[in-house]
Amino acid sequence: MKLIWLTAWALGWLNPAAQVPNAKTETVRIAGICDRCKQAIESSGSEKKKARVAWDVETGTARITYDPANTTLDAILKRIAYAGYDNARYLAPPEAYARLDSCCRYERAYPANVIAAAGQPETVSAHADHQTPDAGQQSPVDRIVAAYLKLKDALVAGNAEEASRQSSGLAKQLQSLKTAEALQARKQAQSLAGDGAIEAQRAQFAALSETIHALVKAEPPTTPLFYQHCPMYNKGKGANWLSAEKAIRNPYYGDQMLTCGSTVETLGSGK
Amino acid sequence: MSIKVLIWFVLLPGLVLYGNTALGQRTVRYDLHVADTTVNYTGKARKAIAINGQLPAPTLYFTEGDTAEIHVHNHMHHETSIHWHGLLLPNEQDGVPYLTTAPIKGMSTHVYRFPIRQRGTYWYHSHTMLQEQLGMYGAFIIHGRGERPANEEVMLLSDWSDEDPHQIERSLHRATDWYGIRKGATQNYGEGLLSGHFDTKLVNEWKRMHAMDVSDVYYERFLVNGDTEQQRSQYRKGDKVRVRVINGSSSTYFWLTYAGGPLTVVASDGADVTPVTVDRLIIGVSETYDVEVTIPADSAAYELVATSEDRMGQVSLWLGDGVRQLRQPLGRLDYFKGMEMMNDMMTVGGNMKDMGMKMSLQQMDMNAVMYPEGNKPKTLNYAMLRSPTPTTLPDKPFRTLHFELTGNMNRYVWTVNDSTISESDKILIRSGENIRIIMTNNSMMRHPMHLHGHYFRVVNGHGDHAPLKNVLDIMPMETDTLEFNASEEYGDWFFHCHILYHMMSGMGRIFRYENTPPNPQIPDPEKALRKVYADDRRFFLGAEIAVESHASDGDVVLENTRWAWQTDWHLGPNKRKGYELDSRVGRYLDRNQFLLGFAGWEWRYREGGHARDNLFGQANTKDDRSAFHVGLQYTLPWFVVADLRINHRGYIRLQLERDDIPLTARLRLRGMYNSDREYAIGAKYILTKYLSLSSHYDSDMGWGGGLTFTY
Repeated sequence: MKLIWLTAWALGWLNPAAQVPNAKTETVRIAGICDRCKQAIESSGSEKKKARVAWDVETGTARITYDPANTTLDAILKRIAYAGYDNARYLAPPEAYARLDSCCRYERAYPANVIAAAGQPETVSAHADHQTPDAGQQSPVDRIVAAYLKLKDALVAGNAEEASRQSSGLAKQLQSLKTAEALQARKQAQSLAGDGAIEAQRAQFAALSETIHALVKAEPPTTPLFYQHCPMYNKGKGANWLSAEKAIRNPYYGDQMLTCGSTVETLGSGK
Repeated sequence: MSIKVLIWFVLLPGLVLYGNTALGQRTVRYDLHVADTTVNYTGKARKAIAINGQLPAPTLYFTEGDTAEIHVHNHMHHETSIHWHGLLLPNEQDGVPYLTTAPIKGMSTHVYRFPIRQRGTYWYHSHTMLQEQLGMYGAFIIHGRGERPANEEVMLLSDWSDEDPHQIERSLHRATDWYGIRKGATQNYGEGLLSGHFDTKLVNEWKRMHAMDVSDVYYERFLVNGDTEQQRSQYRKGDKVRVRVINGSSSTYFWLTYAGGPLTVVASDGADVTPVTVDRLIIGVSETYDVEVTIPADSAAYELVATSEDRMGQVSLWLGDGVRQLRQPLGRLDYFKGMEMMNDMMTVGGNMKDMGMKMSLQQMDMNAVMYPEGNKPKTLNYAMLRSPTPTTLPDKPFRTLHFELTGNMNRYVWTVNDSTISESDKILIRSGENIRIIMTNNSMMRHPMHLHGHYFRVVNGHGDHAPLKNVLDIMPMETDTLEFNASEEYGDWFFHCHILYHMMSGMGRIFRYENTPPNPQIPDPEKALRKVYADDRRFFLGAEIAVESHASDGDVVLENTRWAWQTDWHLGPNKRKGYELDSRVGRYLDRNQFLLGFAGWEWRYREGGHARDNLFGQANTKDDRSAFHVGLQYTLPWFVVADLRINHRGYIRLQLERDDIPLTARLRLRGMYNSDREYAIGAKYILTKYLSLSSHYDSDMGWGGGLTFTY
C-alpha cells in the first residue's frame, strides 16, 4: 500500500502538469534571449502548485500552466515583468531591466517613449557641480578645497574606489602648501586613499575634515564654504565636513541619511 | 449568526437643484443611506458599513458657492455621524457627535446644510467610534466657479482589516506583537544574531523599546476607490491628469510614485500650492494632495502606485490603455537599521533626543535609514510647499500654545502634554485673535494632526506664502509651527491626531470660542461632553491563561489610560502543589508609565511546604498567606518588571519578572525570581493570535506543558 502511494507521488513529481490542479494553459509572448533568461523567467513566474512557466528561447513565448482558482495569468506576468522581462501585458520597471545580466539585456520591443525612463531620479538639492574657476587663477587653497570636495562627493555617493582616487588627488594638491595642517592633512589623505572599505574611509574622513577646516580657517579660500555637522555619526559623537553648498548631503551616511545634518559655520569669501 | 444584512440599492443620490439660479446660488442635495453590509476582500465575509450600497461612500461633487444639503439616513440600529473633513462650515454642521452635532441615532435621518465657501479636494467620514475603519469614508470634491473639470480622477486610499476594529484596538493596548508576526517585523534575537544585529536588539530592549515599526496594524488589503487596482483607459499621449489623492485610511501612510515620470504637486488639503515636481511623496493619514501626471505615450498604461508606509502592500491606478508599464515596487524596510537609529535617539529614561538637529517639516526622514532605495528619489516635504497667494493672518495679537506630543507605545496611550482629551480642559480662544501652535513630537511615531473647520498656515520659510493645510504630519523629534486666525464666531473645534486608534486613546484638544451660544443640537452639554470624554476613558480587557499538565497559570488585566486592575493565579492540581491567587488595583504614576502604584489582596496555600526564610530574613509565608498588600511595580530596562510589596503583617516581597523574550518570531521565553525564593522559567510557541503551545518549570509545581490562550 505504501509503495503505491510512493509511486503515485513520484509520478506526480515527474509529470509537471500534475503539479498544477485545474490546469489551464496559455501561450504568451515574453521577451528574452538566452538560457539565463529562460531560468529567470521560469523561476519568477512559477509558483508551487499554482503556476508553471515553460519559456522557449526559439519562439520567445512561454507556455503558462496555471490554476485559475488560485492565481491569474495577470499575476504571473506581473512577477515576470518585475524580474525584468517585458511581456504581452506588462513592461518591466526600468530598474528591473537595468539589473539584468549583460547577456540577458534583450532589445526592448517598444519605442523608447513608451518605456518609462531609467533616468537618474532627481535629488533634493541641485547636484554638486562645483563652479571651479579657471585653474590658473586658483590659489593652492582653492585647489585643495576643490579636491577635498570631490572626495566628499565620492563619500556621499558611497563610492569607495572613487573616494580612494580622489583622496590621492587631494594628497597631491596638499603638497603645494607647507603649513603644519597641510602636512597632517596630506598624511591623513594618503592613509584614506589606502583604505578600500567605505566605513574605514569615512572614519578617516572625519579626522581629515577637522584638519582641512583648520587649514581653511588659517587661509580662507575664494569661494564660500559651509562647515557642516552630522550629530549621529560614530554613535552620537558626531562628525563634521566642508561643503560648497548649504543644502546637506551627508558624506558619513550617504544614501541612508543624505539630508542629516546642519550647517554650523560659513567660511571663505561670501561671508 | 443571524446578522441582519441590509443592502440598500439606491438608484441615484438624489441630486436636486433648487431655484435661485438667478442669484447664482443653488442648493445641491445628496441623500446618503448608511447601512450595515458584508464585504469580502480576502475570501472571508466580513461586516462593514456601506453608504448607498457602496464602500467607499459615493463621491460628492459641489461647486464653490453652492449650498450643500445632505440628508443622512441611518438604517443601522446603532448611531453614527459624518464629519466633513477640511470644510469651513458652521460649528453645528461639523459632525463630531456630542461635541458639535447631534449623533444620528439608529433608524433616523439627519440633515446637514451649509454653504460651500472653498474649492478643492476634501472628504467625509464617520466620527463615531471606529466606524471609519469599517468603510465609512468618501470623497468630497468642490470645483471652482466656471472651472471646467477635465482629466481629473479621484484616488481615495484606505486600509482594510478582516479583524473587528475593536479587537484591533484592544490588541494595540495589549501590545501583542501579533501584527509584527504577520508583517515579519518582530525583530527577534534569533534574527538579530543571524544578521549581526544581536547587540542592536539588546540595546533596543535595554532602552525599553519593543520591536519598532512604522505602523502598528496589519492590514489584509489596501484599497484605491474600494479596489486593489483600477484603470482609466481614456487617456492618451500628452494628457495631463489631475489626480485628487485622498488618504482615507484609519492608520496607514502611503507613498505615491508614478511609472510615467515625475509627479507635480499642485494642491494639499484642498488649498493650491505653487506646482512642485518630485519623484515621490508620502501622504499622511487624512491628508489630501492633488498631483498632476502626464501620459508619456499611446498604447500603454502607466502605473500610479500607492504603497503602504510599512511596504506590506500597494494599490495601483492605471492611466492609459495598452501594455502596462510597471513602477518598481518599494523594497522591504530594514528594521534593524531603524532600531540602530532609535537606539541612538532614545535615552534610557524614555525620552527622544534630537541630538541638536532642529528637525522640522518632514525635511529629514529618519525612516530613510530603513529604505533600501536610500534617499535618492526627490521626496516632497513641507518646506517645499508654497502658497501661490499671500496667507498672512489679520493684524491681530498672537497667542502662542506649546503642544508636546507624548505617548506610551507599550500601553498604547497617546497624549498631548501628557494628558488625554478627557484629562484636559477645553482651550478657550477669542474670535478674531491669532493662534500660534508650536508643536514638538516627543513620541516614537509620526502623527497627522488635524484641525477642524479652519486652515492653518505651516510656517516653513516661505514667509507670506506659507502654505495652508488642515492636517500636519509631524515626525518623531520634529518641531513645527502652525498659525491660524480664529475666524469663526463660535463653537467647539476638535484638534486631534487622525490615526484613528491614537485619537480614540485621547490624543487631541478641543478649542472653544469664548461666548459660544448654546448649541441647539446639544441640549445637555454636560452629559454630551461626558460622552466625548468616554472615548479615551474606556477600559480594555486582556488575558493570558495557560492550561498545562501541572498547573494553570493565569493573568487577567483590565486597564485604561491610568488605571489597571491585574489578577493572576497559579493553580496546581492538588494541595501539595499549591494554589495562589493575587489581585490588585493600581495607577500609573509617571509620564512614561514605567511606575505603577497598587494595593491588593493575595491568598496562597500549599501543603507540606518547608520553605526557607525569605531573602530579607523573614519567616517565609509563601505556603500559607492571606494578606492585603500595597506596592510598586517598575519596568526596568530590558522590560524586567520589578514588583516590591509589603503586606499588612509587615512581610516584604520583591519579584523580578521578564515575559515575552522574542527568541524567534514565534518562540518566546520568560523568567521570574522572587524573594520568597520562588522561580519559574518558561517558553511558548505562538500558533495564532489567541493560541500558543507552552511549557514552564515552576519551583513549587515542577515541569509541565500545554496550551496558552492569549486574549
